[in-house]
Amino acid sequence: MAQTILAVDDDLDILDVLEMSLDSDGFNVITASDGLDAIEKAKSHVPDLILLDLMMPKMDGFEVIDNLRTDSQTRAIPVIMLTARSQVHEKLQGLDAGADDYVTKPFDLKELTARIKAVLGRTEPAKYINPLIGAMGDWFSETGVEQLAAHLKTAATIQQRLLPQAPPRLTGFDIDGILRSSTSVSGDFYDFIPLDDGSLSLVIADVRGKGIPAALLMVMIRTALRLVCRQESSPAAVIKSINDLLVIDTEPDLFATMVYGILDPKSLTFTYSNAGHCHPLHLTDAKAHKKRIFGVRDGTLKIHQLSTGGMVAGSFDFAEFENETVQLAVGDTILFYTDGITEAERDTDNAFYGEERLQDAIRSSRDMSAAMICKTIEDDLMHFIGKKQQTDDLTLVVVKATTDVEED
Amino acid sequence: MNVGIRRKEGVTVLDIEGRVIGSESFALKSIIDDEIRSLQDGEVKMLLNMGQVRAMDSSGLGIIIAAYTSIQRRGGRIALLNVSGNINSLIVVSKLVTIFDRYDDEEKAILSFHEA
Repeated sequence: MAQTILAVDDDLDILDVLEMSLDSDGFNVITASDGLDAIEKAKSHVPDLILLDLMMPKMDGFEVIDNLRTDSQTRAIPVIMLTARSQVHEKLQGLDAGADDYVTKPFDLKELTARIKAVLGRTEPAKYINPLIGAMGDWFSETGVEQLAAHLKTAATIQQRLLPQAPPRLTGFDIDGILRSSTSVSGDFYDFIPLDDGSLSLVIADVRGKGIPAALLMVMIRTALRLVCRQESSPAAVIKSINDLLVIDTEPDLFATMVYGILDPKSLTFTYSNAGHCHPLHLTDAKAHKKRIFGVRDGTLKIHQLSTGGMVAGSFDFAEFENETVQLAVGDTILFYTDGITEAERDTDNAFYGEERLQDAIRSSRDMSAAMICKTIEDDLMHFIGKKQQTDDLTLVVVKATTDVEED
Repeated sequence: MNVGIRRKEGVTVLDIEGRVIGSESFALKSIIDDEIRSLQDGEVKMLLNMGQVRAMDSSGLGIIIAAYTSIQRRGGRIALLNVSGNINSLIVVSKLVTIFDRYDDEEKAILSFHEA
């Protein structure tokens, strides 16, 4: 995405020139013609950089800088001052006040662009670290960052241990999953919980956002699920409990999408409820199915989307959820995934990986083992995104019905 | 992401453009919060024009959910305009279709705020 620059000058001709020149350099340009306007726009747009004229009526550039530095949202926005050639003391004063660079008027547009790029390059990392610093408060220091890094590493290790360490064993099924986190800690998770009656409960979830806040919520949901799944037998009731818990404990914009379901090896069924999560894909070889049941050989591969359930969990106390029971047949595959898969973007044209590609990938790999299907789809996805950095957590869980149910 | 603010017959229309994704979407949250704060209780009528939104993720969705909740709490109403493609799938899959009214015609959308 193009970077946004806020240009501030009381001389409208200069603003016009700046806007045209920066626009043609590929920046988004916002303009303000006085200090108050500048502060308002800096707060509402949070630009990547501010070009600030020092001498303005009403409120001068120094006051603007002072004001921006007191607000956590605008504190880290780099500022390049525009000054008249003679005012050396002002340059110093501006740099003291926290400006990152200055350009003297009349300025050369090429030089200005070069300065902007240099400052943006220098301050880019700060843009990402700053929200953390804000959260850590004023005791922030180099030691603080080192400590934070160490804590993050520990947190990532704890979280890794909360994921299944080995595929679950369930007679008649081949099951596996993978999770590739985009940051050290993750908001995605999946879990397998063996229940007392011999069935297996399975969950895949995607907590809103990324990083530490998402990871905290993930740990909370996983823990709650492990308790609730033994109290409630219906998946919809389990999800409703989690929903109500999150509604009480968190703000509405913190939520999770999830599919919780129970695989019953005796009846060869999967009963689930889907809380606003990407629909798992249930592949049935209709030919095999019909042959087994009706002795018919025609039919083709069908994909059924597991969409029954309700809204995202954790935002609304009025959310209600429903169950669906799916009859499985030997040879069937269910693919669970998070939107990090379908919304992964290609480096060359930002095209999404998308559900169609995912459907093709599962169709062509369905005869492999669950572990190999995960690996094949992951490889296909990584190949697709190319040089682009992975931006969201990716999770896949594959369930395959492998052998006929034993009659007892 | 860019957000334009218009007022039309008592309705605040936010024209959202670009990617409502991750930290890029935080600006939208503060704009919505400011709008809600600046208006009197019960008078918040907000229409989010999503026609130029290229992509939205769960953070973006969270912002719209939070907006819904806080506007609802104040007795106001929020609706969506020109939701299509990926954004529509996101709202359908997350089953938020049940709480968000969606319109493809701005006139009709604006009118709906006055019928209620």
